[in-house]
Amino acid sequence: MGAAQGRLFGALLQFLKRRSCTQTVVSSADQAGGVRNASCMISDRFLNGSIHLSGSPRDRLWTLQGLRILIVDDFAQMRTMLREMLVSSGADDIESVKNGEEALEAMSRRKPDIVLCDYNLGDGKDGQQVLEEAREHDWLPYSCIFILITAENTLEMVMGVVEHEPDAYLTKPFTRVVLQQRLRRLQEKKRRFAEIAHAVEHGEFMRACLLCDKAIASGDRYRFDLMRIKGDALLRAGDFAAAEKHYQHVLALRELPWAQLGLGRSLCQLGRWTDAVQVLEQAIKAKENFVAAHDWLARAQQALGKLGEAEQTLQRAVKLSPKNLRRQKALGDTALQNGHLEVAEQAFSQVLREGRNSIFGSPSDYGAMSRIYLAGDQADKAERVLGRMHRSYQRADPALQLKMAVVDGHVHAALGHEEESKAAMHTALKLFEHSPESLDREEAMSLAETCLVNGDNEAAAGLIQHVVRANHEDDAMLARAQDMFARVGLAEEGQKIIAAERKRLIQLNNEAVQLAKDGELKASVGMLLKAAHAMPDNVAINLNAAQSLLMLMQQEQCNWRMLRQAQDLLRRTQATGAGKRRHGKLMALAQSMEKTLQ
Amino acid sequence: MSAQGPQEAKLRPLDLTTILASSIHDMKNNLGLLLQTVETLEEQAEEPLSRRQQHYRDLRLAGLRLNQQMMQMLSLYKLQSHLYTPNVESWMMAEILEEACLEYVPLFAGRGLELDWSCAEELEGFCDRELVSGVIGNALHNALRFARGRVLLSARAWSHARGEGVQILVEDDGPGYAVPAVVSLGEDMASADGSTGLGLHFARLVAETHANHGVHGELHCDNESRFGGARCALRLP
Repeated sequence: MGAAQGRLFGALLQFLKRRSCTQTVVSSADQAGGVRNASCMISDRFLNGSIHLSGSPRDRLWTLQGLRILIVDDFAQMRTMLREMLVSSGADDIESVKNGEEALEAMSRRKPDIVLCDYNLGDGKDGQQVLEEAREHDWLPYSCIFILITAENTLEMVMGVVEHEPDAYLTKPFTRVVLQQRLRRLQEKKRRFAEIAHAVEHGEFMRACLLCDKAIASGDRYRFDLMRIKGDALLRAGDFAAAEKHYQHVLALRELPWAQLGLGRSLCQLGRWTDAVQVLEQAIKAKENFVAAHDWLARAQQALGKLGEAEQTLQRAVKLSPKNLRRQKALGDTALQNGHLEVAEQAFSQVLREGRNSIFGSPSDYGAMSRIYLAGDQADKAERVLGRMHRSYQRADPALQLKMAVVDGHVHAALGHEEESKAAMHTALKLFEHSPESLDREEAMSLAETCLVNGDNEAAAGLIQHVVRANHEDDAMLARAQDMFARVGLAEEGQKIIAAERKRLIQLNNEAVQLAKDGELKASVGMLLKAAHAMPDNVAINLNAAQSLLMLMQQEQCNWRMLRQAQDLLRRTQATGAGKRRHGKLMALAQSMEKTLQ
Repeated sequence: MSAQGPQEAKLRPLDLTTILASSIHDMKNNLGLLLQTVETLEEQAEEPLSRRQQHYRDLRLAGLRLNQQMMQMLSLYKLQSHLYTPNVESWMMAEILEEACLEYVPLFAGRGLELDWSCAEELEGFCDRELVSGVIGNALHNALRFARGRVLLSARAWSHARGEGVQILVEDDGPGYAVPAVVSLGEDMASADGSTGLGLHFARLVAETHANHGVHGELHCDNESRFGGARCALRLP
């Protein structure tokens, strides 16, 4: 192992003066006062090292020229200072903004290469939220460097405890040379992982894993970074059994929080809730502020039916990080289920407050708030929430209008305002016809209920069919649909509708399976793919389509196009219960086929 | 109009963390500007090295020290109140050492001192980068006060009972510690040279909060420097 030794002395002084004079190292060292010897040694010693200092020839070539850089800071003088630092490193394409909203707007216009974002941005979003929303929108490709600038070096709510981490934290104040060195190191790292990142971004998860393994085996010095990327790739690929094994392996080497979280997530996805609880509780014990672990712990507790514990877990998480909307929503929903209306109200107040300027906000949040008031017999408040919703979404697109109409219809029905409810319902149904994909499962169920209350059984049946179509093997969902019909005295009709829809799907499935048995594999694949296209959320259909594709590939010939198609089907399938094992088996099969194609 | 009276809106008392964090955020911005201005002035100063330039360096050193002490204060408070747990990740030690030197070499040079660093390129360590950089900064400031000619910052592997970690060493050619025995947490807070010993306390706390599979970090200070002065070693499992 070669030792790189640093004698930075005069070289740095020269660096500081580079703008005014481009002299040799020796002369600038002279000015520092009789240290000629020391600086001469630098160049000798660094010849066989890979660390480049300011005096090396490569350094003079390093520049930020041509890179799109975004500065986010609420303090004008800081923006100017950062800009000057960057300009002196050759940057010529810098945009400066003063808050999170402007930052997101700028990123949506064009993806930056480098983002320098202050954590503390005044009243609006903080830097961490900017990072999360930008990632959610896919405005930050892997190649982009995101640096979170902080005043503190111990940000207990952020560092190492959240799911989305920046590429680096930089504590204020820092000098230009330090910023340059950080940027250069990060660029080098990103370049090193470019091929792997490309594979991940194009959904070639197994290839990404193989590349990681290869790099680790070759002794790459960033082995833990590679292991982290591999774990993410396995989770994104949906290969949870392999992910579990991988994280266990990492944890045996080192107790790292991201590996504990990864293991917990894998166990949740595998439905091993009790094991997941144990792992996540241990992670939280070691790191009390670990909010991301709290989120998954609450999920596991919920799945185990421990709603009280789940609520407590979410309470703690929300206390740690009150700005995260999804967490507040989860708390509100759980508290409402537990009948803790005050907690639920508090959580959704926060959701409504923060949600207006966030992609995580939705008109349905106002619906949830109304439901909380209705549960507490506060009809006037429930109605006022609707007004607030309309004021918040004044220029809504059809998808949002549809969501608002669903909320309007539901709340007015609950308040006994028949006329208003019916009007909203008609609006919603008309919009739904054009874009049924705009409504999620809960919203569709809510609209169905409104239709039933208003006596439009036909529309309700259509909506429930829509939901059943996506969930025909989800018994809990079917029971809820059945219950809804029963509540308006239509138990029998409901049963008929649900049974008919189920039967239709089972028949389609059986036909396809029969075709496959008869050797008509291609016809079977065609039929199932068509069905999967029409019902993208249906687990069984998606799994069957993927399996038939894989069978066809085994029988005939493997090709990338078919493999990708099968993997896409598997990836979008959120299997639960019994489907999970089959899902895992098919993932493994697809993986082994991918290996033969490599 | 709602019935809410103005008296109802009582000012909520802030907790200490918020007060510290907010104050530090504001102070940091100004400190940053100050340091940057000094750096710019320093660059523009007349050649050859003028007395004025020397004053700028002193200013910068004072600013840096102030910053470091503020960070140390906040970190100590948070670590002790269990508000913060080290954010341990894998790092190339060379990267951390190099960054510390980039910051300190000009300051050492200003005093006619040499600062070198040495570390195997591939040496990997597990630590909270920010906290460990704080400890290194402290040790370098200390060395700056006592060294006669040279200081070496280095890192190498550290074999402990249950595997291997890394140790970071700061060695100088000064007079060495008056009492070479290692002080433990809380003891001997005030030392002979008039410093409060808070830096040492901080370094120990950082060492102890780094742990892996039951092994904790250690801090060792002695007079075994290869240059005959003080040696301070931060060992991380």
